[in-house]
Amino acid sequence: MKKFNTNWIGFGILIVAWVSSAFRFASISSEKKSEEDPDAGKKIIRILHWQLEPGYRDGMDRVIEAYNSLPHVKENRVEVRQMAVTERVYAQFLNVHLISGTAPDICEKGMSSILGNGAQLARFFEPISGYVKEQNHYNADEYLPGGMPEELLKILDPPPPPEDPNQERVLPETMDPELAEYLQTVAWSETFTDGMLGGWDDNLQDYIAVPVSSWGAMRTFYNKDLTAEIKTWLKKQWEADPQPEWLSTLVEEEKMVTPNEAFLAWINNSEVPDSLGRFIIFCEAVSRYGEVVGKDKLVAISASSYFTGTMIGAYVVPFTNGMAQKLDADHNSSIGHQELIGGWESGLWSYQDPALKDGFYDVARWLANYYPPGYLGLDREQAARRFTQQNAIFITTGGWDASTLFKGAEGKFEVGVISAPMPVEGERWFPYSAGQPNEAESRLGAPMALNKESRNFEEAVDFLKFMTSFSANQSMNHRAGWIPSVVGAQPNEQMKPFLPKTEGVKGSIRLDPSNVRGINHIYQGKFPLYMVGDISYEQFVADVEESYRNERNGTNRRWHEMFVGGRDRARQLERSMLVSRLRAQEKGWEGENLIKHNNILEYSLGILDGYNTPADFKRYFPDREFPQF
Amino acid sequence: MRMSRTSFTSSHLPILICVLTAGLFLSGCGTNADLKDPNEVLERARNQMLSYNIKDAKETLEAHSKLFSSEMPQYPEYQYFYALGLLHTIPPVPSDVEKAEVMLLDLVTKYPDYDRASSAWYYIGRIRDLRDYKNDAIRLGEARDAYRKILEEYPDSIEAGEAAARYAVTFMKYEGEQEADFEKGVTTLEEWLVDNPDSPQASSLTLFLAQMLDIYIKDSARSLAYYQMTYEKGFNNQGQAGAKIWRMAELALEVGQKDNAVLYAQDIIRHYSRSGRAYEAKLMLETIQKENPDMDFEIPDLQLFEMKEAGE
Repeated sequence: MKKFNTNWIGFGILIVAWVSSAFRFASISSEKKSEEDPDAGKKIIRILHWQLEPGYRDGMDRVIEAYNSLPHVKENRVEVRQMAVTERVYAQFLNVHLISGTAPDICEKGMSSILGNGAQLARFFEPISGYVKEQNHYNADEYLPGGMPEELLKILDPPPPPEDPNQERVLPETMDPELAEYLQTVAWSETFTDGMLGGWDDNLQDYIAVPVSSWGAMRTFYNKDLTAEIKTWLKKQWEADPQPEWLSTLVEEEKMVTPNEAFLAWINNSEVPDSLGRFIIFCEAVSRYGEVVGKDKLVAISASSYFTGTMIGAYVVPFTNGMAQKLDADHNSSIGHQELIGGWESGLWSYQDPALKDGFYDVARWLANYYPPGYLGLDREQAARRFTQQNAIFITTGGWDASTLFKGAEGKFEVGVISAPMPVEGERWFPYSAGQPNEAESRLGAPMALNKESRNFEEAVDFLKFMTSFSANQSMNHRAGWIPSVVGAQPNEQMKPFLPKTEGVKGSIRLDPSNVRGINHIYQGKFPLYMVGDISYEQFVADVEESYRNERNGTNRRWHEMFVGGRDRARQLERSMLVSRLRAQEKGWEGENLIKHNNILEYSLGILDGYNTPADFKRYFPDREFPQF
Repeated sequence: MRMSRTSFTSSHLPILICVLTAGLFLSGCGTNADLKDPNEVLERARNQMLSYNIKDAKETLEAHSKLFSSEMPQYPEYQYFYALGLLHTIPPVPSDVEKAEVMLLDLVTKYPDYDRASSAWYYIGRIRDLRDYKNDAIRLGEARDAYRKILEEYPDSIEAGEAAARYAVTFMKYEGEQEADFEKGVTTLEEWLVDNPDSPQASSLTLFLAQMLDIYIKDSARSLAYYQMTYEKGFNNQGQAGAKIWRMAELALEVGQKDNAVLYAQDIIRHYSRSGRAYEAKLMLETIQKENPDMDFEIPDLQLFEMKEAGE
């Protein structure tokens, strides 16, 4: 008798498991099909984003509800649904679904590591230049204030609750006829305040997303009540005889201000500082006041390690603008790495430049005196909490934090919003400053891209058109506490201070060149040490300059990397041109097809296939060999 | 003995699992060669390329290669798309790029009248003057030969303007022993533009000349002249136009064309506030007015968002 081989038991279990799994899969699939599915026959459009800030989802829900209620949308059985995913897992979520072909129809572009830009981006998302030249029919009279049906108006601009009949309305009662005509006659792209550049991709030379909101410019929030309280105390200090030493030192020795008429007027009012010198005096007053009244935790500026965490970012343009004008060798209104490094190596700029040494870096150290101890260990939430708990007077951040801060202060104190104060004539830093930065170039945010694999692509485009129509966009952003992206649409009162300023200078240099490996690493490590006074300016500069000179990772390496990167970019552009060429070959070399192709051609020619790097190098150093690695 | 040959032992288990897994994979994958009509294959590959799925297009053509032979009318089209697929699949494979060049050369030699022949020559030029992979040898002289072919044999093709520009750029590259000669590159392109002022790429090419003259040759007057030609034809890239017009205003001041500087500064304020230069344009106008009280012109107000005319 044959001996039974026990291995067959294992094999049998494997087969049984496989068969039962297949059976279960088949039965669930058929069950799903046969069940009464409420979505059967519907076209579901999913919109994915990571904006979990208070109000944003409510604002989007409002627009979705309005869109889903439109008669033609109902008739076509289209339904839009929102998917909000925290930014902590957004990248992984999007990556997995893009690769598996199950990504939502509309996805907020960003975060994902596999997207990059150019052709890579276009593998997953559809370039939309073909759509943006059409008009947005949702700006027709029947969708604008004064013309829209009552039912739609109720959703987009809900009537105020009985307990608050004076609540701010979302939409105007009627529409400015000139604005209406404009929105109805121009291309969709021209209805955006930035010309839709927030959705533009340079490598594709095409629009790849629809920006639906803006957080506006960076601003400084302040506690109005505490400001007034401390101003009263400061006035007393000013009038004291003798004046406290700290105050007279700041004015007479440190030359923070000239005690002229304007300064005296400010000392005597309850307003927030309106110049950088006054700001420093006020910050010092906050520290002194805290000591006097026993508020140990009170600091002037709620700084943190968050990228907007310190105020110093606001002073890069004012103090480096003059150098930027000098360094802009290719006259394109921005300073690239070639210009930055070539300029430094050839002595066009240095850390001894008074605008840097006596301007920017001096301001940086002064401001750091008023940050909380150990601020680099604090995160965004902790900084916001310090402010809302009245342990700090100022916090600098973007409009995306406005709702959090205003809500956190509700019932406790009044919040004000200012632009970072600039040096004025007679103040210590005035000679080095070019004035406030120009913000007109701000790009819109929350760019929503269209998934190529979407089975309801046209419907998804239609929804984005609705979302970026005057009424819907103003309604959504009003509720969200963001700035609308449509020309003429207004933000809520709270957000008006975040509108970009048109006055001011353009151009700055990047003092912490993020793409320059090695140098950036040293800079990021040393700059905070310098700010808090752990190392001297001389030591800071010596360390950073040593990283510039480093044989392996310094400027030489960077020149080499820029050359390699430029040539790779030229090849990427060539790939984009291949597609634009095929499209033009099919549809004709005219209109948009020709413009798009020529746009990429211009970009590609402008960088000389990446050979602009050695050409620039030779411009700075005619006799030096181009670095090789 | 016989029993030991047929018995299932634990050592067979991994093999069995591999067989099952492979079976599952194969059942899911199927073959890519599912089309019978060469035209459908080309259509699919073209659509894949238009969707930036270049690798998929290459694989489609590879899977259906047996459907194509050199006697067929679709063969040049097959060669063209397959070569471009080989060339632009990421990551680039050196042997594929070499194969693409051979295939394109075969195409232009055997089918010089094929309607994409000029485009094929263009890609031959690009294979030669672009670095497609690490240690790829750049052959500028051979690239020029390819571009010259287009200029001489296909002067009316859409690729002619691009070929003229690429030909000029080959002189502007520091590559190997070659020192960049910007003047030669610029002059070459200038000469071509004199004969072809209405080229579909004219605006892009005059802009390119303006930039090269400004940045590398530092001839402000000549640069401004080419910027002005571009301005008259219209900038392709409206997102960048503001920065270019600002540069025109600066150059115009530099060469003493104050009237033009005023015109460009006004244009920036009225139409290109998004460039971030409107405020400085206003300061420029105020300075010109102060220094030239006899000049009478308007200084427009700054606006946050301009409303363009329909169709602008």
